[in-house]
Amino acid sequence: MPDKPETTSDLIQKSFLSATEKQSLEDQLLKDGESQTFWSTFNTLLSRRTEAIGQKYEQIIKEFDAQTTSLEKNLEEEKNIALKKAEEQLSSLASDDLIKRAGIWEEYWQTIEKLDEQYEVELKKKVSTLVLSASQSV
Amino acid sequence: MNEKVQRVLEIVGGFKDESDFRLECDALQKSTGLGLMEARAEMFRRRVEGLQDEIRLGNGIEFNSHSMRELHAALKFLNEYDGSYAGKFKSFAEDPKLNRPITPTALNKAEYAAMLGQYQKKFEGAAPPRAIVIDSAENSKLAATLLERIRNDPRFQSSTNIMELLDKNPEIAADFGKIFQAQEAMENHQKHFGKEMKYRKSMERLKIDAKDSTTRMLWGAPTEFVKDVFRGGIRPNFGTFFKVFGATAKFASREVYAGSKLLFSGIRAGASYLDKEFA
Repeated sequence: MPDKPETTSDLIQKSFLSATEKQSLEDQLLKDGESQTFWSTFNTLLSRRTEAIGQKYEQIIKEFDAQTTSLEKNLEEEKNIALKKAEEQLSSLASDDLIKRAGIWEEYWQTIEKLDEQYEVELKKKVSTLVLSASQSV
Repeated sequence: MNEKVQRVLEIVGGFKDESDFRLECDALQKSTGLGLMEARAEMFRRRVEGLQDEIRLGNGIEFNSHSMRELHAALKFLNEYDGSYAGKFKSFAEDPKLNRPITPTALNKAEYAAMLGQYQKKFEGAAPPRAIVIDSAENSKLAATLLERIRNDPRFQSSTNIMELLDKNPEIAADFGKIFQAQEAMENHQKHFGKEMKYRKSMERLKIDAKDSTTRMLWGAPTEFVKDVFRGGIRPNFGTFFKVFGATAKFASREVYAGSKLLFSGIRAGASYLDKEFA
């Protein structure tokens, strides 16, 4: 098939319609030629297929956004808990007790790092689901 | 040793800041007639004052503080180019017999704002939680208070040999040790927060890439078809299809890729074209 669609049949074959839809269009083209009805049918099939893809696309993207927003909310909550714990421990220490203070902050930052790593694992799962959903829709 | 040769050797050996201190001491000695050790002691006091000025003018120790680096260089030079003084002074700070408690005054608004501003400047407008900014500002203030105590100490003011002074009065060295600990605490927050920010960015990138792949998978074929229609000689009336395609392309470009450079160029070009066609 040429790069540029030279004929209406090329255009049908290059379209993203299903094999059945393509065959039905080819049959109609053969029967009626490039009639107004033919182009109207072609236009309708393309619109329906595009609408279906669009709906699926919006749905999976919105789902992904909702899931990642929820993950991020949980992450922030966990980080706030870690911060509150550190603040409570620090409150009983003098401001110049730098060694003990450093130990508490180190523990806090290690917790943050672990939480970020857990978030990454969860996010990667969501990404896999997203890509899988998209591939199944093609 | 020839002065120029010594300077080159110091720089090659990684002691440029220490060499600068030595030259400043030599210049002071020549201009004032002070003895060598007295000139070094006086120049060291000026370094302490320099750090105090930086803190006073900036409402705290600056990130990557030039004055703090100069203070370290002076101490290293006075300790015969040996950096082990820092560990020793910090161990003094941990010794209950040498550690003299100190309570800085409460943090004021300007000091907090200055520390917040430093974080925002370094991390593209971002800053860690308030408690960490406060901790950093308090450490900076603690260092300032300790510097004030050292500078007001008559033994420090009258000293003609700084290393001897610190050897004989380890509680003063302990104050320096505590200043270094405070500086380290500030640097640790910066290091960890920087790492967290980098992580956040990489996660954002992952989300964008995932959406980009999804867009390519679902919209690759329709986009290619739109291109084919415009490339080919046939110009069918696909008005409804183009409108539906255009609406989704707008969703993809506005909702999914807002702010991203990874716009799916085919869809974006299609949307732009269709905007003009069906305006």
